[in-house]
Amino acid sequence: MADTMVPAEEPEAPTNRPPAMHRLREWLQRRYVRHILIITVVVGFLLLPLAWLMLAAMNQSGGPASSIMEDIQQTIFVFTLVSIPITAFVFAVLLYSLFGWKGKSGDVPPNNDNPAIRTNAVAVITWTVSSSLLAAFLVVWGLIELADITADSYGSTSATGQPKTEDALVVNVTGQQWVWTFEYPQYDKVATDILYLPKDRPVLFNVTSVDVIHNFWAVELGIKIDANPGAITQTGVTPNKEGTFNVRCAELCGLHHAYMETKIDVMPAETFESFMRESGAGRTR
Amino acid sequence: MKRFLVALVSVLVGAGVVAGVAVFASATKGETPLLVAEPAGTVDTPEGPVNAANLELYVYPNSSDAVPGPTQGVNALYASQGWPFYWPSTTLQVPANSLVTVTIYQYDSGGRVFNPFWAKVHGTVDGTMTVNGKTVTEVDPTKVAHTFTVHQYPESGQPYLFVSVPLPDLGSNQVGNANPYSDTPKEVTFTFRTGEPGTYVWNCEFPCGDQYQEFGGPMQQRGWMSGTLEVV
Repeated sequence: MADTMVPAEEPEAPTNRPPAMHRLREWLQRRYVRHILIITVVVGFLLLPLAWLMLAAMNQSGGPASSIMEDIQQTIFVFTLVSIPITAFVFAVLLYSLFGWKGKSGDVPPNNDNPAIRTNAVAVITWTVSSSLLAAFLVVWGLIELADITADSYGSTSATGQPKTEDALVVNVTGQQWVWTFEYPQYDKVATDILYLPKDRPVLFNVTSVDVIHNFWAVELGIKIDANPGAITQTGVTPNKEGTFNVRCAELCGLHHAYMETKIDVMPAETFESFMRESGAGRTR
Repeated sequence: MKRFLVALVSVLVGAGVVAGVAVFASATKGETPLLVAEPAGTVDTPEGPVNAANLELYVYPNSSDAVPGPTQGVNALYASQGWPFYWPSTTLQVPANSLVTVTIYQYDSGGRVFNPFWAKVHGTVDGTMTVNGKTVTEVDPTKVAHTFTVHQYPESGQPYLFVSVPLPDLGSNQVGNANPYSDTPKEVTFTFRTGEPGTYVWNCEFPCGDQYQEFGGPMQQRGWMSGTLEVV
């Protein structure tokens, strides 16, 4: 009777490479790794309030006052949060490199140098994959938000584009050293030095300049576009918050560029209509 | 010791350079002397009596022996350029919570103002001004010489102030190229109300300079066609 022959297991080739988990544990127990990780966590927590500080700074003047600005703020907040661990790690390596191996007075250089750095497949794969994922996340997020903002702000229409809805308010914006003026063609061409807007009504801006290049920046509404002499550029927004906000020139344009600012007054639609009537203009279109 | 001395000298040289630049910038800044509005008693208004003050300004087409124009600091370099200028100063001071009446004697020629907004009167009492005694709310946009336009930095927390009046032109044959100037300037008078104290800037919105689009020269240098208005 022949015994069933079970092939004997081949003995594992002798190796000095410990299992991956063991190697990782061993790596984490190294002094410099522990120190860098601790510094990363500490610096990360110190930087964390930065994300909220940036939001607070942006909201100081009452914004956001449109869905566009809400999208922009959300993007800045998320991108800041994502960048904090990376910044913290870079600073941790930098700080440890600066101070961890700092020689003391009287030290003499070692006779033999440290062993040469060899490639490490795990490290290479880790940083390549994590960087790619992170970059992909930023690109995808950015593209989605950009598409959203573009759709909301007439960003993809040509300079001859018409309002997307019949109800849209058209405002002709003129930049001139160093004052903005606003004309309302649907209201007998009423012209003002303050930008008056109704809440929750889409607005199309036709922007131009009569002298040099300016940049029409409605800060809390999240729109910003060049005002070029001899050309009309277009942007749009739907204000969703009542209040007083700011228009600034964002293109260095001469002596009083720093003063080329004015107010935006977002008011209820009925108040806006009354204001236009008081300014001597019934709605014509 | 030697290293310490080298460091000290480097710091001193750096500080000297910074101080030199600051002194040069201060000496050449070209701000004209302060022109304070003259008190003019009180005026009865529907809200009660209000302090009043008067300010008198001139706009000349170029400097002359009688009216040398701004010569402070760096402006001395531009004195021979034949630039128009406000006179006697562009650094103005007016009282807070008051009615300020400004009279401007305009001696220059002009032309079409690109943006008709500047041919209209904005921000004055009743939205009017007088031209040679006649009350108007706007002037012919093809015959504007200069504007007097006050605006501000809106985030500074000071009250909003926006005043703009067009200054009608003289026919070019009426304008003297040097002293004597025309005997019949356009006399523009307007009144605006000031609020709480603040600092504002003002400038001419009619392109009356040289270089690109006539927005260079006097349009870009304090003391000529622009300045500050301090409400105190």
